[in-house]
Amino acid sequence: MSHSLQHAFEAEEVMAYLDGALEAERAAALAAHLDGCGECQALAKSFRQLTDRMMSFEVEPAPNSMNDAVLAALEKPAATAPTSAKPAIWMRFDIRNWPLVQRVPRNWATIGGLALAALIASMIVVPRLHRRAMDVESVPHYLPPSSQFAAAQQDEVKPEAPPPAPQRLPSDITRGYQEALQRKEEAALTENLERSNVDKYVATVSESSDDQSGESTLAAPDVKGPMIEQNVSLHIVPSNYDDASAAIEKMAAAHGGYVGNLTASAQTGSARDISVELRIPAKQADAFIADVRKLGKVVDESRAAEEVTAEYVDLQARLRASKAAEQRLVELLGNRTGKLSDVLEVERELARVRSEIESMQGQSNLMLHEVNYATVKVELSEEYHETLRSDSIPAKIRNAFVGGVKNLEDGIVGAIIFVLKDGLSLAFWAAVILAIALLVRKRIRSRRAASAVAGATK
Amino acid sequence: MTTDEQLIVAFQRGDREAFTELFERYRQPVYAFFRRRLSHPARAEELTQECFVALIENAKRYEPRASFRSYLYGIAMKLVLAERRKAGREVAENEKLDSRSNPVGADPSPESGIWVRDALAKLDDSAREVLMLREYEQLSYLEIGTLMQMPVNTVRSRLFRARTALKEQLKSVKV
Repeated sequence: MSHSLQHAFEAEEVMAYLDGALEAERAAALAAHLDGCGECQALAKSFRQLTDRMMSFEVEPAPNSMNDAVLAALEKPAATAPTSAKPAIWMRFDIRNWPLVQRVPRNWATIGGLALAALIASMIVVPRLHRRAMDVESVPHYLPPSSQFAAAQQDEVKPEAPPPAPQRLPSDITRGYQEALQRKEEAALTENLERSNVDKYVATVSESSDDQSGESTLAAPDVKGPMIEQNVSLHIVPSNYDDASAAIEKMAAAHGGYVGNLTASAQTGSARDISVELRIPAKQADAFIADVRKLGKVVDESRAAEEVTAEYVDLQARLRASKAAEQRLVELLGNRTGKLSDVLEVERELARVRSEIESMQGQSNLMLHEVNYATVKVELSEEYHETLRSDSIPAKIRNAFVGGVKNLEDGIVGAIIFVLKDGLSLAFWAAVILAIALLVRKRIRSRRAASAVAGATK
Repeated sequence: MTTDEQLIVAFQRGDREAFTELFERYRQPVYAFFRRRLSHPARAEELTQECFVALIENAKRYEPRASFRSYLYGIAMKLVLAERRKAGREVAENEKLDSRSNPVGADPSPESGIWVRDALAKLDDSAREVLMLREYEQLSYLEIGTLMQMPVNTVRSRLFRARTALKEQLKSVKV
């Protein structure tokens, strides 16, 4: 294919001449040159042969089947034009018109649609059923007494009758006042339900103290002796850590107490320990502590007693005064007629006094609980012995292997649990996101193609 | 004989017979255009339809200063490019003129199109397109330059490079 460097015409010019793409003057000169130049003739011949060879790349006749479609488009151009015929807006929301869906075979689409509907329905229904089941089991057996009392109180509150209302206020004012008072009391009951477990427990201990009539029926009306809050702390190294840690809760239950907090730690290469905060009836506290001491060696013990008699008596005095004030206000509302503003003023004062009463009753009951139940903190520490085993190389290898198998087992179980628990929903959302992404990509590409065609026609 | 440009102008004015005449003239060349560039005959047929439908829809945008052939093949070229983008991984196969199927049969002789097609597949994209537009669609250098948005001199040099490379490849084939 080489062409002489000194030649008058470039090979490219010969090619352009054969293609009819050379300027007229240059073409005339080249035509004259060709007659006497064997090299250029050979070059021209090679180009012609190449064209002949390329023509062997033939194509079968165009199928006639496309004629109808094109001629139909000629009749109804707007209906068949891919670039300008845009579907109606409502059709875009019809999932059957989505390209992604149209690509899927019809029966697959039906099955997929049903499966999707079932999945969505199950996602709505199952959590509700689960929540209902949780509600039924919402008072577990292991709840501490405070929670149990709270649950009991919730049951008791419901049937409680509305509080007695003043009866002798005239006509409309009386009725309006009664309604307002009832609403207030209902709101107070609702608020009461939302308090912490301790508050609920305290309210339950007082039992009849919720009596809205104002009668004082507090659980411990008379103080016959000193009221003492006991706090005991014991640090024990048990002879058998496992037995001791298992026994501590049983011992508390046997003495009528319960476990408040429990913290355990068991780090590899160090001693285990467990810290338990227990609430034991005050009368049983000494017996319980004596039993606990038997668990092992007591390395530390402290005991604190705080007398709260004076505070309690003072609190009770203020409570009685407030209840008396409340009683007077109720009588005032019941016996006098007056302006609406006066009635409302008395009503506000009554509400304030009742709020104080409730607060003091709560404090009083909490104090009683602190007195009646001693707080015993027991810390059990395992006596740690450095093991010679850990220095042994075969033991280390064995432990490493066992640890590896355990990790593998945990990993597999964890993966299975993860798949069973979250896999379905993850797969669902992944499918949704993938479908949206494919749809968006499809639409972008189709728009690009449409704009490309439109650009070509400009 | 009425020119293509006269026919498309007549169609712009509502003469449907003019379009029918254009369709008869170009249905085979346009189909061949797609067929040589795509491996699937059915898709080539669909794109041929789309090309003519686009022509119908956009006939009013045609301006007589441009040749009708460059206008028509411009639409076809855009459709091919869009198809290649759309086809994703199939693009590579189509661009290389998939050797798994022979448009005119399975004749493996040196004279058959398979040799040419394989040789074309080895050219770079731009040179191959210029060469095919020149040899098969019989477009002028100017029309190719307009269609591919490049200067005429570039068209000529690329065409020369493509032909030279193709001749070298075909030379190795003993006919």
